[in-house]
Amino acid sequence: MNQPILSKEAIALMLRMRFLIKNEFGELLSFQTQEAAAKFCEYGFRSSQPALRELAQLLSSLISAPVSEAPRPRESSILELLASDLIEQPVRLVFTRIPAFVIDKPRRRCLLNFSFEELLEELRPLGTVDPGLTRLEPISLGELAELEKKAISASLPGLMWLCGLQFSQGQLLPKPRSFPAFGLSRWPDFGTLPHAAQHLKMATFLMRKTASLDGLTAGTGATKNEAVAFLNACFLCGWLKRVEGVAPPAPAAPKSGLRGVIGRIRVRLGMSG
Amino acid sequence: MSNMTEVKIIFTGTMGAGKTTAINAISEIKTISTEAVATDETAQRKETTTVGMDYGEVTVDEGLVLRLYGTPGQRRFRHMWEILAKGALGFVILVDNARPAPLEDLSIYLDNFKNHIAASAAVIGVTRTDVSAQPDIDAYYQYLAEREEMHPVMTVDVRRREDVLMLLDSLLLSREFE
Ligand SMILES: Nc1nc2c(ncn2[C@@H]2O[C@H](COP(=O)(O)OP(=O)(O)OP(=O)(O)O)[C@@H](O)[C@H]2O)c(=O)[nH]1
Ligand SMILES: [Mg+2]
Repeated sequence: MNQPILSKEAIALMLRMRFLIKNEFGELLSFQTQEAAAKFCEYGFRSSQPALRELAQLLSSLISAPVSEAPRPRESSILELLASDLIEQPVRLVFTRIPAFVIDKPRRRCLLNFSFEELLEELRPLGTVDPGLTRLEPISLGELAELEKKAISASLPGLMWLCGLQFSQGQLLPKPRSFPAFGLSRWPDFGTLPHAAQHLKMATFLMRKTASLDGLTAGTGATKNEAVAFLNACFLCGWLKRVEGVAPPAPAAPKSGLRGVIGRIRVRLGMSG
Repeated sequence: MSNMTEVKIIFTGTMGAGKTTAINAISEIKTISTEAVATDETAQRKETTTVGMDYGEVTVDEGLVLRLYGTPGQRRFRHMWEILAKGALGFVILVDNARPAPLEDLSIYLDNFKNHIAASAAVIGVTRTDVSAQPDIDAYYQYLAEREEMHPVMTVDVRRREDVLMLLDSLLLSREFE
Protein backbone atom coordinates (compact mmCIF):
# COMPACT_ATOMS: atom_id res chain seq x y z
CA MET A 1 0.00 0.00 0.00
CA ASN A 2 2.00 2.96 -1.10
CA GLN A 3 -0.79 4.99 -2.64
CA PRO A 4 -2.14 7.82 -0.57
CA ILE A 5 -5.47 6.90 0.96
CA LEU A 6 -8.34 9.13 -0.06
CA SER A 7 -9.92 11.76 2.11
CA LYS A 8 -13.42 11.26 3.61
CA GLU A 9 -14.86 13.84 1.22
CA ALA A 10 -13.53 12.03 -1.80
CA ILE A 11 -14.91 8.72 -0.62
CA ALA A 12 -18.30 10.30 0.07
CA LEU A 13 -18.31 11.75 -3.43
CA MET A 14 -17.47 8.41 -4.90
CA LEU A 15 -20.31 6.78 -2.99
CA ARG A 16 -22.72 9.26 -4.48
CA MET A 17 -21.27 8.71 -7.90
CA ARG A 18 -21.47 5.01 -7.54
CA PHE A 19 -25.16 5.27 -6.98
CA LEU A 20 -25.53 7.06 -10.29
CA ILE A 21 -23.00 4.93 -12.11
CA LYS A 22 -24.74 1.79 -10.95
CA ASN A 23 -27.82 2.79 -12.88
CA GLU A 24 -25.73 3.39 -15.90
CA PHE A 25 -22.94 0.81 -15.92
CA GLY A 26 -23.76 -1.74 -13.30
CA GLU A 27 -21.65 -2.51 -10.26
CA LEU A 28 -18.41 -0.73 -9.53
CA LEU A 29 -16.91 -2.05 -6.36
CA SER A 30 -13.64 -0.63 -5.23
CA PHE A 31 -13.45 2.97 -4.12
CA GLN A 32 -10.60 3.00 -1.66
CA THR A 33 -7.64 4.20 -3.60
CA GLN A 34 -6.42 7.07 -5.70
CA GLU A 35 -6.41 4.79 -8.68
CA ALA A 36 -10.08 3.90 -8.16
CA ALA A 37 -10.95 7.57 -7.79
CA ALA A 38 -9.25 8.27 -11.10
CA LYS A 39 -11.44 5.56 -12.69
CA PHE A 40 -14.55 7.13 -11.18
CA CYS A 41 -13.57 10.46 -12.71
CA GLU A 42 -13.07 8.86 -16.09
CA TYR A 43 -16.52 7.25 -15.98
CA GLY A 44 -18.04 10.47 -14.75
CA PHE A 45 -16.57 12.65 -17.49
CA ARG A 46 -17.78 10.27 -20.16
CA SER A 47 -21.26 9.98 -18.67
CA SER A 48 -24.40 11.33 -20.27
CA GLN A 49 -25.75 12.37 -16.86
CA PRO A 50 -24.92 16.00 -16.03
CA ALA A 51 -25.04 15.26 -12.28
CA LEU A 52 -22.43 12.59 -12.69
CA ARG A 53 -20.22 14.81 -14.79
CA GLU A 54 -20.41 17.49 -12.13
CA LEU A 55 -19.48 15.07 -9.37
CA ALA A 56 -16.58 13.83 -11.45
CA GLN A 57 -15.35 17.40 -11.76
CA LEU A 58 -15.54 17.84 -7.99
CA LEU A 59 -13.83 14.56 -7.31
CA SER A 60 -11.11 15.32 -9.78
CA SER A 61 -10.29 18.61 -8.10
CA LEU A 62 -10.32 16.89 -4.72
CA ILE A 63 -7.91 14.13 -5.62
CA SER A 64 -5.50 16.33 -7.51
CA ALA A 65 -5.12 18.68 -4.54
CA PRO A 66 -2.44 17.63 -2.08
CA VAL A 67 -3.94 15.53 0.68
CA SER A 68 -3.82 17.86 3.64
CA GLU A 69 -3.37 15.25 6.28
CA ALA A 70 -1.83 12.13 4.90
CA PRO A 71 -2.19 9.16 7.17
CA ARG A 72 0.89 8.61 9.23
CA PRO A 73 2.79 5.54 8.20
CA ARG A 74 2.77 2.88 10.83
CA GLU A 75 6.55 2.53 10.88
CA SER A 76 7.53 2.59 14.49
CA SER A 77 11.15 3.63 14.10
CA ILE A 78 13.41 5.34 11.62
CA LEU A 79 14.88 1.94 10.78
CA GLU A 80 11.48 0.54 9.85
CA LEU A 81 10.75 3.63 7.84
CA LEU A 82 14.00 3.23 5.90
CA ALA A 83 13.20 -0.44 5.37
CA SER A 84 9.66 0.20 4.11
CA ASP A 85 8.53 0.43 0.52
CA LEU A 86 7.28 3.96 1.15
CA ILE A 87 10.59 5.26 -0.12
CA GLU A 88 10.95 3.32 -3.36
CA GLN A 89 10.51 6.52 -5.40
CA PRO A 90 12.16 9.89 -4.73
CA VAL A 91 10.40 11.40 -1.70
CA ARG A 92 10.81 14.20 0.77
CA LEU A 93 10.34 13.00 4.33
CA VAL A 94 8.78 15.65 6.51
CA PHE A 95 8.97 15.07 10.24
CA THR A 96 7.62 16.82 13.28
CA ARG A 97 10.88 16.52 15.18
CA ILE A 98 13.71 16.74 12.73
CA PRO A 99 14.40 18.68 9.53
CA ALA A 100 13.00 17.28 6.30
CA PHE A 101 15.25 15.55 3.82
CA VAL A 102 14.97 13.77 0.50
CA ILE A 103 15.62 10.13 -0.23
CA ASP A 104 16.23 9.27 -3.86
CA LYS A 105 16.44 5.51 -3.80
CA PRO A 106 16.71 4.93 -7.55
CA ARG A 107 19.90 6.99 -7.55
CA ARG A 108 21.08 5.66 -4.20
CA ARG A 109 21.44 9.04 -2.56
CA CYS A 110 19.86 11.40 -0.07
CA LEU A 111 19.65 15.14 -0.56
CA LEU A 112 20.10 17.29 2.51
CA ASN A 113 20.13 20.94 3.54
CA PHE A 114 22.64 20.08 6.23
CA SER A 115 25.56 17.74 6.61
CA PHE A 116 25.38 13.96 6.68
CA GLU A 117 26.82 14.01 10.21
CA GLU A 118 24.07 16.35 11.35
CA LEU A 119 21.49 14.03 9.84
CA LEU A 120 22.88 11.11 11.79
CA GLU A 121 22.80 13.14 14.98
CA GLU A 122 19.19 14.11 14.31
CA LEU A 123 18.22 10.54 13.60
CA ARG A 124 19.99 9.01 16.55
CA PRO A 125 17.25 9.59 19.14
CA LEU A 126 14.71 8.19 16.69
CA GLY A 127 16.38 4.79 16.39
CA THR A 128 13.63 2.85 18.06
CA VAL A 129 10.83 5.36 18.53
CA ASP A 130 8.14 6.60 16.21
CA PRO A 131 10.02 9.06 13.98
CA GLY A 132 7.04 11.41 13.82
CA LEU A 133 6.86 11.39 10.06
CA THR A 134 4.07 13.71 8.99
CA ARG A 135 4.29 13.66 5.23
CA LEU A 136 5.89 11.89 2.33
CA GLU A 137 6.01 14.19 -0.66
CA PRO A 138 6.74 12.59 -4.01
CA ILE A 139 9.42 14.53 -5.87
CA SER A 140 9.29 15.08 -9.59
CA LEU A 141 12.34 14.74 -11.78
CA GLY A 142 12.29 18.48 -12.36
CA GLU A 143 12.36 19.23 -8.66
CA LEU A 144 15.08 16.65 -8.20
CA ALA A 145 17.22 18.45 -10.76
CA GLU A 146 16.64 21.75 -8.93
CA LEU A 147 17.56 20.18 -5.59
CA GLU A 148 20.72 18.72 -7.00
CA LYS A 149 22.06 22.22 -7.49
CA LYS A 150 21.74 23.36 -3.90
CA ALA A 151 21.43 20.34 -1.66
CA ILE A 152 24.18 18.20 -0.22
CA SER A 153 24.16 14.77 -1.80
CA ALA A 154 25.06 11.89 0.48
CA SER A 155 25.26 8.18 -0.20
CA LEU A 156 22.04 6.35 0.61
CA PRO A 157 23.81 3.04 1.27
CA GLY A 158 26.05 5.06 3.60
CA LEU A 159 23.01 6.28 5.51
CA MET A 160 21.31 2.89 5.53
CA TRP A 161 24.48 1.17 6.67
CA LEU A 162 25.17 3.53 9.56
CA CYS A 163 21.55 3.59 10.69
CA GLY A 164 21.51 -0.20 10.72
CA LEU A 165 24.75 -0.42 12.68
CA GLN A 166 23.94 2.33 15.16
CA PHE A 167 20.19 2.19 15.74
CA SER A 168 19.34 -1.50 15.85
CA GLN A 169 19.43 -1.93 19.63
CA GLY A 170 19.46 -5.69 19.38
CA GLN A 171 16.22 -5.87 17.38
CA LEU A 172 16.12 -7.41 13.94
CA LEU A 173 13.82 -5.52 11.58
CA PRO A 174 10.46 -7.27 11.05
CA LYS A 175 11.25 -8.51 7.54
CA PRO A 176 14.62 -10.16 8.21
CA ARG A 177 13.17 -11.44 11.48
CA SER A 178 10.97 -13.67 9.37
CA PHE A 179 13.91 -15.10 7.39
CA PRO A 180 14.67 -18.68 8.45
CA ALA A 181 18.34 -18.08 7.68
CA PHE A 182 20.56 -15.51 6.02
CA GLY A 183 22.96 -15.17 3.16
CA LEU A 184 24.54 -12.14 1.49
CA SER A 185 24.49 -11.20 -2.17
CA ARG A 186 27.74 -9.21 -2.04
CA TRP A 187 30.32 -7.81 0.32
CA PRO A 188 29.64 -4.30 1.58
CA ASP A 189 32.31 -1.95 0.26
CA PHE A 190 34.42 -1.77 3.37
CA GLY A 191 36.72 0.62 1.58
CA THR A 192 34.08 3.32 1.95
CA LEU A 193 31.70 2.13 4.70
CA PRO A 194 32.84 2.60 8.28
CA HIS A 195 33.28 -0.79 9.84
CA ALA A 196 34.99 -2.96 12.40
CA ALA A 197 37.00 -6.11 11.67
CA GLN A 198 34.02 -8.12 12.89
CA HIS A 199 31.90 -6.87 9.98
CA LEU A 200 34.36 -8.10 7.39
CA LYS A 201 34.32 -11.45 9.14
CA MET A 202 30.52 -11.68 9.24
CA ALA A 203 30.23 -10.58 5.62
CA THR A 204 32.72 -13.18 4.43
CA PHE A 205 31.03 -15.84 6.55
CA LEU A 206 27.63 -15.10 4.99
CA MET A 207 29.12 -14.94 1.51
CA ARG A 208 30.61 -18.39 1.91
CA LYS A 209 27.89 -20.04 4.01
CA THR A 210 24.33 -19.41 5.01
CA ALA A 211 23.36 -19.26 8.65
CA SER A 212 20.71 -18.34 11.17
CA LEU A 213 21.44 -15.60 13.66
CA ASP A 214 22.78 -18.20 16.10
CA GLY A 215 24.84 -19.76 13.35
CA LEU A 216 26.34 -16.42 12.49
CA THR A 217 27.36 -15.64 16.05
CA ALA A 218 28.69 -19.16 16.59
CA GLY A 219 30.64 -19.10 13.32
CA THR A 220 32.23 -15.68 13.73
CA GLY A 221 32.41 -15.01 17.45
CA ALA A 222 30.30 -11.86 17.03
CA THR A 223 27.88 -10.99 19.82
CA LYS A 224 24.16 -11.16 19.14
CA ASN A 225 23.89 -7.35 19.14
CA GLU A 226 26.75 -7.01 16.66
CA ALA A 227 25.22 -9.63 14.39
CA VAL A 228 21.74 -8.07 14.54
CA ALA A 229 23.09 -4.62 13.72
CA PHE A 230 25.11 -6.04 10.85
CA LEU A 231 22.13 -7.99 9.44
CA ASN A 232 19.87 -4.93 9.65
CA ALA A 233 22.48 -2.79 7.93
CA CYS A 234 22.88 -5.31 5.11
CA PHE A 235 19.11 -5.65 4.80
CA LEU A 236 18.66 -1.89 4.52
CA CYS A 237 21.32 -1.77 1.81
CA GLY A 238 19.57 -4.56 -0.10
CA TRP A 239 22.31 -7.16 0.29
CA LEU A 240 20.69 -9.57 2.74
CA LYS A 241 19.24 -12.74 1.24
CA ARG A 242 16.45 -14.83 2.65
CA VAL A 243 17.52 -18.45 2.94
CA GLU A 244 14.93 -21.17 3.48
CA GLY A 245 15.53 -23.79 6.08
CA VAL A 246 17.49 -23.05 9.19
CA ALA A 247 21.03 -24.23 8.85
CA PRO A 248 22.11 -25.60 12.20
CA PRO A 249 24.92 -23.62 13.78
CA ALA A 250 28.12 -24.89 12.26
CA PRO A 251 30.00 -26.95 14.81
CA ALA A 252 33.41 -25.45 15.35
CA ALA A 253 35.32 -27.19 12.60
CA PRO A 254 38.53 -28.82 13.69
CA LYS A 255 41.43 -26.59 12.75
CA SER A 256 42.76 -27.99 9.57
CA GLY A 257 46.33 -27.17 8.62
CA LEU A 258 45.14 -24.35 6.42
CA ARG A 259 42.85 -22.82 9.01
CA GLY A 260 45.61 -22.90 11.58
CA VAL A 261 47.97 -21.13 9.20
CA ILE A 262 45.35 -18.50 8.41
CA GLY A 263 44.71 -17.92 12.09
CA ARG A 264 48.41 -17.37 12.74
CA ILE A 265 48.75 -14.90 9.90
CA ARG A 266 45.69 -12.97 11.02
CA VAL A 267 47.03 -12.73 14.56
CA ARG A 268 50.42 -11.61 13.30
CA LEU A 269 48.93 -8.89 11.12
CA GLY A 270 46.72 -7.66 13.94
CA MET A 271 43.42 -8.77 12.45
CA SER A 272 41.15 -9.31 15.41
CA GLY A 273 39.05 -12.38 16.20
CA MET B 1 64.61 -23.09 7.14
CA SER B 2 63.57 -26.73 6.86
CA ASN B 3 60.78 -26.56 9.45
CA MET B 4 59.44 -23.39 7.95
CA THR B 5 55.99 -23.47 6.47
CA GLU B 6 55.63 -21.01 3.61
CA VAL B 7 52.50 -19.52 2.21
CA LYS B 8 52.33 -17.10 -0.66
CA ILE B 9 49.91 -14.47 -1.76
CA ILE B 10 50.02 -13.07 -5.25
CA PHE B 11 49.40 -9.43 -6.08
CA THR B 12 48.46 -8.93 -9.67
CA GLY B 13 46.90 -6.32 -11.91
CA THR B 14 47.69 -3.85 -14.64
CA MET B 15 50.73 -1.63 -14.74
CA GLY B 16 50.49 1.07 -12.16
CA ALA B 17 47.55 -0.51 -10.34
CA GLY B 18 49.61 -0.45 -7.15
CA LYS B 19 51.16 -3.89 -6.70
CA THR B 20 54.56 -2.60 -5.61
CA THR B 21 52.98 0.02 -3.34
CA ALA B 22 50.68 -2.57 -1.71
CA ILE B 23 53.47 -5.07 -1.03
CA ASN B 24 55.61 -2.26 0.36
CA ALA B 25 52.82 -1.34 2.75
CA ILE B 26 52.90 -4.68 4.55
CA SER B 27 56.24 -6.32 3.92
CA GLU B 28 58.56 -6.26 6.89
CA ILE B 29 61.60 -6.53 4.71
CA LYS B 30 62.51 -3.91 2.22
CA THR B 31 60.70 -5.14 -0.84
CA ILE B 32 62.85 -6.61 -3.49
CA SER B 33 61.85 -5.36 -6.85
CA THR B 34 63.59 -4.07 -9.83
CA GLU B 35 62.19 -0.74 -10.80
CA ALA B 36 63.15 0.58 -14.18
CA VAL B 37 62.45 3.92 -15.67
CA ALA B 38 59.17 3.48 -17.42
CA THR B 39 59.37 3.65 -21.14
CA ASP B 40 56.48 2.37 -23.21
CA GLU B 41 52.85 2.48 -22.11
CA THR B 42 53.63 3.29 -18.51
CA ALA B 43 55.65 6.38 -19.07
CA GLN B 44 52.94 9.03 -18.80
CA ARG B 45 51.49 7.46 -15.69
CA LYS B 46 54.40 7.08 -13.34
CA GLU B 47 58.13 7.20 -13.36
CA THR B 48 59.06 3.60 -12.76
CA THR B 49 57.69 0.18 -13.48
CA THR B 50 58.63 -3.17 -12.05
CA VAL B 51 60.64 -5.39 -14.30
CA GLY B 52 60.44 -8.98 -13.20
CA MET B 53 58.49 -9.29 -10.00
CA ASP B 54 58.07 -7.81 -6.57
CA TYR B 55 58.87 -9.73 -3.46
CA GLY B 56 58.11 -8.97 0.16
CA GLU B 57 57.63 -11.06 3.27
CA VAL B 58 56.20 -11.21 6.74
CA THR B 59 57.60 -13.61 9.32
CA VAL B 60 54.49 -14.83 11.05
CA ASP B 61 56.20 -16.83 13.77
CA GLU B 62 59.19 -19.18 14.08
CA GLY B 63 57.54 -21.72 11.85
CA LEU B 64 55.68 -19.68 9.29
CA VAL B 65 56.58 -17.15 6.67
CA LEU B 66 54.19 -15.27 4.42
CA ARG B 67 55.61 -14.48 1.02
CA LEU B 68 54.15 -11.69 -1.04
CA TYR B 69 54.72 -11.71 -4.77
CA GLY B 70 53.80 -9.07 -7.28
CA THR B 71 53.43 -10.21 -10.85
CA PRO B 72 55.07 -7.99 -13.41
CA GLY B 73 52.50 -5.69 -14.89
CA GLN B 74 53.95 -5.48 -18.33
CA ARG B 75 52.58 -8.14 -20.58
CA ARG B 76 55.92 -9.16 -21.94
CA PHE B 77 56.62 -10.78 -18.54
CA ARG B 78 53.50 -12.88 -18.64
CA HIS B 79 55.37 -16.19 -18.75
CA MET B 80 56.28 -15.63 -15.10
CA TRP B 81 52.68 -15.49 -13.94
CA GLU B 82 52.10 -19.21 -14.09
CA ILE B 83 55.20 -20.08 -12.10
CA LEU B 84 54.25 -17.62 -9.39
CA ALA B 85 50.62 -18.68 -9.18
CA LYS B 86 51.21 -22.31 -8.34
CA GLY B 87 50.12 -23.17 -4.82
CA ALA B 88 49.19 -19.65 -3.81
CA LEU B 89 46.91 -19.10 -0.83
CA GLY B 90 45.09 -16.47 -2.85
CA PHE B 91 45.20 -13.57 -5.28
CA VAL B 92 44.89 -9.87 -4.73
CA ILE B 93 43.81 -8.36 -8.04
CA LEU B 94 44.36 -4.63 -8.16
CA VAL B 95 42.42 -2.64 -10.73
CA ASP B 96 43.30 0.93 -11.60
CA ASN B 97 39.90 2.60 -11.93
CA ALA B 98 41.38 5.53 -13.82
CA ARG B 99 42.33 3.43 -16.82
CA PRO B 100 40.05 3.41 -19.86
CA ALA B 101 38.42 -0.01 -19.35
CA PRO B 102 38.89 -1.27 -15.80
CA LEU B 103 36.44 -4.16 -16.14
CA GLU B 104 38.31 -5.45 -19.16
CA ASP B 105 41.55 -5.13 -17.22
CA LEU B 106 39.98 -7.18 -14.45
CA SER B 107 38.88 -9.86 -16.87
CA ILE B 108 42.47 -10.39 -18.02
CA TYR B 109 43.53 -11.44 -14.54
CA LEU B 110 40.39 -13.41 -13.71
CA ASP B 111 40.82 -15.35 -16.94
CA ASN B 112 44.52 -15.77 -16.62
CA PHE B 113 44.45 -17.15 -13.08
CA LYS B 114 41.07 -18.83 -13.44
CA ASN B 115 42.04 -22.31 -12.31
CA HIS B 116 44.30 -21.10 -9.55
CA ILE B 117 41.62 -18.76 -8.23
CA ALA B 118 39.03 -21.52 -8.35
CA ALA B 119 41.34 -23.60 -6.17
CA SER B 120 42.04 -20.77 -3.74
CA ALA B 121 40.44 -17.31 -3.51
CA ALA B 122 40.69 -13.81 -4.92
CA VAL B 123 39.92 -10.32 -3.73
CA ILE B 124 39.58 -7.31 -5.99
CA GLY B 125 40.96 -3.98 -4.85
CA VAL B 126 39.84 -1.01 -6.91
CA THR B 127 42.44 1.77 -6.75
CA ARG B 128 42.43 5.41 -7.85
CA THR B 129 38.70 5.85 -7.30
CA ASP B 130 39.67 9.37 -6.20
CA VAL B 131 40.71 10.00 -9.79
CA SER B 132 37.82 8.16 -11.43
CA ALA B 133 34.67 7.11 -9.56
CA GLN B 134 33.31 5.05 -12.45
CA PRO B 135 32.80 2.16 -12.82
CA ASP B 136 31.43 2.03 -9.29
CA ILE B 137 31.52 -1.00 -7.03
CA ASP B 138 28.00 -2.02 -8.08
CA ALA B 139 29.24 -2.24 -11.67
CA TYR B 140 32.03 -4.57 -10.56
CA TYR B 141 29.58 -6.86 -8.77
CA GLN B 142 27.31 -6.75 -11.79
CA TYR B 143 30.22 -7.75 -13.95
CA LEU B 144 31.22 -10.60 -11.63
CA ALA B 145 27.62 -11.83 -11.58
CA GLU B 146 27.66 -11.95 -15.38
CA ARG B 147 30.78 -14.06 -15.17
CA GLU B 148 29.12 -16.20 -12.49
CA GLU B 149 31.96 -15.52 -10.12
CA MET B 150 31.90 -13.94 -6.71
CA HIS B 151 34.83 -12.25 -5.01
CA PRO B 152 35.02 -9.38 -2.57
CA VAL B 153 35.42 -6.03 -4.31
CA MET B 154 36.68 -3.11 -2.27
CA THR B 155 37.62 0.47 -2.89
CA VAL B 156 41.19 0.89 -1.70
CA ASP B 157 44.05 3.29 -1.64
CA VAL B 158 47.01 0.95 -1.43
CA ARG B 159 49.19 3.75 -0.08
CA ARG B 160 47.32 3.13 3.17
CA ARG B 161 48.46 0.07 5.04
CA GLU B 162 45.04 -0.52 6.61
CA ASP B 163 43.46 -0.77 3.17
CA VAL B 164 45.95 -3.42 2.10
CA LEU B 165 45.36 -5.29 5.36
CA MET B 166 41.63 -5.18 4.67
CA LEU B 167 42.21 -6.82 1.28
CA LEU B 168 44.39 -9.49 2.83
CA ASP B 169 41.92 -10.14 5.61
CA SER B 170 39.04 -10.67 3.23
CA LEU B 171 41.22 -13.08 1.29
CA LEU B 172 42.23 -14.97 4.43
CA LEU B 173 38.67 -15.11 5.74
CA SER B 174 37.43 -16.32 2.37
CA ARG B 175 39.79 -19.25 2.72
CA GLU B 176 38.90 -19.79 6.35
CA PHE B 177 35.16 -20.07 5.63
CA GLU B 178 35.38 -22.00 2.36
N1 LIG C 1 45.67 8.87 -6.60
C1 LIG C 1 45.88 7.61 -6.18
N2 LIG C 1 47.08 7.08 -6.38
C2 LIG C 1 47.29 5.82 -5.96
C3 LIG C 1 46.31 5.07 -5.34
N3 LIG C 1 46.79 3.83 -5.06
C4 LIG C 1 48.05 3.85 -5.49
N4 LIG C 1 48.38 5.04 -6.03
C5 LIG C 1 49.63 5.46 -6.68
O1 LIG C 1 49.68 4.72 -7.89
C6 LIG C 1 51.00 4.29 -8.16
C7 LIG C 1 51.05 2.77 -8.22
O2 LIG C 1 52.32 2.41 -8.64
P1 LIG C 1 53.00 1.00 -8.38
O3 LIG C 1 52.75 0.55 -6.99
O4 LIG C 1 54.40 1.13 -8.82
O5 LIG C 1 52.17 0.11 -9.37
P2 LIG C 1 52.53 -1.34 -9.90
O6 LIG C 1 51.25 -2.10 -9.96
O7 LIG C 1 53.63 -1.93 -9.11
O8 LIG C 1 52.99 -1.02 -11.39
P3 LIG C 1 54.01 -1.85 -12.37
O9 LIG C 1 55.17 -2.27 -11.56
O10 LIG C 1 54.40 -0.87 -13.41
O11 LIG C 1 53.25 -2.97 -12.96
C8 LIG C 1 51.84 4.84 -7.05
O12 LIG C 1 52.40 6.05 -7.48
C9 LIG C 1 50.85 5.06 -5.90
O13 LIG C 1 51.26 6.08 -5.05
C10 LIG C 1 45.01 5.67 -5.14
O14 LIG C 1 44.06 5.08 -4.62
N5 LIG C 1 44.87 6.96 -5.58
MG1 LIG D 1 55.44 -2.52 -9.59
